[in-house]
Amino acid sequence: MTLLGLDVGTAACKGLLLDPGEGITGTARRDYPLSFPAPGRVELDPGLVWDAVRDVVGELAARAGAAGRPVRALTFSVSCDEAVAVDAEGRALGPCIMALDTRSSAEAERFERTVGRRRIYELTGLPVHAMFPLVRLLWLREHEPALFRRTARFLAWHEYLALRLGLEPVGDPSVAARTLAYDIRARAWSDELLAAAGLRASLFARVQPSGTAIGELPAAAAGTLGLGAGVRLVTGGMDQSMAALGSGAIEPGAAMVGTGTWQAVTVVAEAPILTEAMLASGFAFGPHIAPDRYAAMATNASGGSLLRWARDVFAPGEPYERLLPDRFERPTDLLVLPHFEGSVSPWMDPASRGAIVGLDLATGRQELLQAIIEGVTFELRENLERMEAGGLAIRDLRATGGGARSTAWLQLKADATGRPVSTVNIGEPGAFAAACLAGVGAGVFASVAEPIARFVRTTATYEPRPPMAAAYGERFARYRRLYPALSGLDRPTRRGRAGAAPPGPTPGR
Amino acid sequence: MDALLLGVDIGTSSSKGVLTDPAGRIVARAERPHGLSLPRPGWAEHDAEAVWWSDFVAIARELLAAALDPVAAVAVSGIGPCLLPVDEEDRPLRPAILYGIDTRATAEIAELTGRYGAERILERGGSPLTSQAVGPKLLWLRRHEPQIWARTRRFFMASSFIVRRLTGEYVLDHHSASQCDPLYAIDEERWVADWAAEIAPGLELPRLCWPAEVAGRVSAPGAAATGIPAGTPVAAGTIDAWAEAASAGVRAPGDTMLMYGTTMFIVEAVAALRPHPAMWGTAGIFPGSRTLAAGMATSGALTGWFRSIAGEPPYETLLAEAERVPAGADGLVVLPSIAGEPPYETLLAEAERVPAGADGLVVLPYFAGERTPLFDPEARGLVLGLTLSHGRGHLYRALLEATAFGVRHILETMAGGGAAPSRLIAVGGGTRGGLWTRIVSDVTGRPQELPRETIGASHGDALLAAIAAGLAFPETPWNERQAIVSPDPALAGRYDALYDIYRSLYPATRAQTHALARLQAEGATERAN
Repeated sequence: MTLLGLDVGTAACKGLLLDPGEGITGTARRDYPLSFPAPGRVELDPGLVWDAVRDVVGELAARAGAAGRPVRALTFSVSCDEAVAVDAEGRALGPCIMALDTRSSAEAERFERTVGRRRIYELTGLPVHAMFPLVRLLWLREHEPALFRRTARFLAWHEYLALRLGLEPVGDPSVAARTLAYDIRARAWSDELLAAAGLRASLFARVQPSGTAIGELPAAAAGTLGLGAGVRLVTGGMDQSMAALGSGAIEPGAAMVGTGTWQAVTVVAEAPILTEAMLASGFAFGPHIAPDRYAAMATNASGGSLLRWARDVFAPGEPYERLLPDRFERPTDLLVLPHFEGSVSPWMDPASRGAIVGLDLATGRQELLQAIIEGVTFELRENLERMEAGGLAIRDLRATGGGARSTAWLQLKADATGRPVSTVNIGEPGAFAAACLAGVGAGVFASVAEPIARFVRTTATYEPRPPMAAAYGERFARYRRLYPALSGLDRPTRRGRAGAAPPGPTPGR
Repeated sequence: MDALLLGVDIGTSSSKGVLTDPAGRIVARAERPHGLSLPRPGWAEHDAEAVWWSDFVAIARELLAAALDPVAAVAVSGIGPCLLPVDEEDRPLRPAILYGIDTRATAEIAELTGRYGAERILERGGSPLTSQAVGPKLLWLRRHEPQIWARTRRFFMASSFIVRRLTGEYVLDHHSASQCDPLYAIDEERWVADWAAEIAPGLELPRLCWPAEVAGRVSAPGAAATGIPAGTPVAAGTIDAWAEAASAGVRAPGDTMLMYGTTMFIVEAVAALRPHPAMWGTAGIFPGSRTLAAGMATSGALTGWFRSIAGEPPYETLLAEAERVPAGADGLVVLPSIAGEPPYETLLAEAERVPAGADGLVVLPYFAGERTPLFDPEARGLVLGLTLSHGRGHLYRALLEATAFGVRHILETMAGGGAAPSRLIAVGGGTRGGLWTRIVSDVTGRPQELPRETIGASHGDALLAAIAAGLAFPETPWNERQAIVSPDPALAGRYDALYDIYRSLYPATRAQTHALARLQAEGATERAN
């Protein structure tokens, strides 16, 4: 028998076949386009997601079937900050509003003022942001009242897909925690927050721990997907925590830094630390996938996106493999503030902008590229150090994502943070973790720790090189003064200038 | 029979010469490129025989060979101030140490400033001690090359070395002398005997005269070497930027030349000199005149830098592109780009398409430290306001705007010192193409005149020669106005706002930038050892 894990992201659905004895036996992928109907608006058609899921499952089910090991259970790892409105018949009511969409800032500010940012954080583990489903519902009620009246449920992707597969929409704590309506310590929907928002609990799905079997797919649904009878749908989780789990981060202190378009670090903790210091840096806490664990998360609005920008401006058409050497041999003499899309953690300033300091006539293209990667990595270090200062233990760091394909970047992560950084043998950790949970729900594994221990291996560990680490330590001390130095100044804008940043975090964009 | 005037300028990377008629019209030109020797970081030198004299001889011979009329007078300008030490027989003892770009004497600048006091130096000489000043370089020579110093009898710069070879006279013009800080007293217009004796004991100082005065006449050996008839009057000459200012029409107080070059250099004629610690105060071209000068550490250099790092598609990409582009009727495939550095025209065109202010980018142009008005060799370049939407055109435009902000800062500094520039005249290679000059007018809110003749200092030298020969006067129109670039008033508000941000950036980031400069210097030392 085979287990099927699916990762439903903002740009693609990826699927993975896991044989409980032999490991990963196949992968597949289908992309779908986001739509940008107006400035600040970002949407995704749920029908396109459904089509992609159907095609990925179909392809992998056929492969598993042909090998004589049909799929027995499937699970979703999902992009978590958005929800699909469905009517009483379970039909999607329009496109899904995606996380980068900026339409609901006013509603976010109002809700934050009503309940108080500390109180919200203490209940949900989230700094208020315009993207969370509770805030989107407030926007819908205000701006699209007819659609809001017809909305029976507001479902995360795996809940929506469960519904489309003919099962009850059941979610999991890690995704529920991203709605801004869920009490992460009680592990239940928060009456207090729902009452403050004036929303009924029935809008949201029932929640079961990750790895719980919801039911067997009805025959019609199974047939559409190319699956046989008796396939169980098992609850999954939110993509970042799933990827952390799939890369082996299961015990407290284990951390994963994913470097894709953006960079995000996830640290496994025993309990959330919901202090003012953590909130001020924008660190989110939520239930982890593994039971009795939490995940702390910090996001940088920069990562591979900056390397691509630099490539397109300074070396257009150059393949990434040729852009970077095997290793950087010395630090640059530049500092880059990587706020090309504003900043999330730890500065929480969406109006901040990118800066390059220290340029001279001898600065070359290679140095600029390296400096940009250094800036992104210093932001990571700033987050790691603030998390530790706030009481979070960070024992080890594993790197995933596109940025983990460059040995120069991996070694720089170690040198510039002063911490060893490892890579693992799992290319799609989110889908892999989903397949592992499918096995738990199917009764194949006693717990998710079992397949993690069996299949996840460290492929390399990059140790910080002492002279580089010392040199980066000096530069980091300078780096962390850069945002404070610049944030008090007026900012250049299209028409002239904008005032300096107000103190404190700003919800939404 | 009309007379001709010969003007020759010895520049940093090339020498140029012109023959003009007595009204300033150029009838012939010649040029000789040459190398700039950078033997060590911070050192900049020329071989006086192989570069200065040899260029002059070649240019003089070429121009005289084509001359249909006799040459009435000669004048030479050159980079400066320089320090070329020579022995008793006027033989160069080492390569010439060049002007401000040679920064070897930093310790000596500090020592002399400490010894005599910054205020006293400024009051007596009109300028602070900087890498322009010759005094510290003489002290450097004594300290670091004592054997050469022991044989040194006289010193020359490019213009005065040529004058000596042509005429046998040991003369230096007042303007060049006024840049030999702290050896020249500007109010008295003479050498400062006490300080000269302490800094350069035993050094014979040249006789002083004004740039357009006759320093001497071509001697027989001078005639034999160059083909210029013996007896031809030779003017004292001067430093290149001041000869260019003369060509550009800087005469009355408030007339200000903006020289758009590798570095932006600004010379303003002033009525009375009020020395300013961030600018050079000098004697001018015409007897009794004074100028204030300011220089940025970069300007055109930024465009060269950007061109070298801004990519064109790699060859494989171009090949792939070629396969997709249909061939024309002649069978040729025309590609929009060629591999290598993008041409300036491409970058300028991209910058033109970007709105003023580059969609919210501000750059500090201190890519080689900064001279006026910060005088901070540890200042560095900075870009602020970057987003993923900013492309190559935005960055190039922001670099041009940065030089314009630097010009505005200098003009305001001059005005703050009681010498408000009133008439701006733009010269130099950077005034071709149009966009850069327009940006400077838009950012400063000031119009700029563009003179017709743009070859530079050698044209001004021809005026000096004409005055020396009695064929022209300072008031003689020498270079008529070709065009005026006017500021766009609609952009004033936007640029004023961005200029305020520009001014706030250096103080806000100075600590980090200095730390980076120090780390850079430490790293370089480690790698050298």
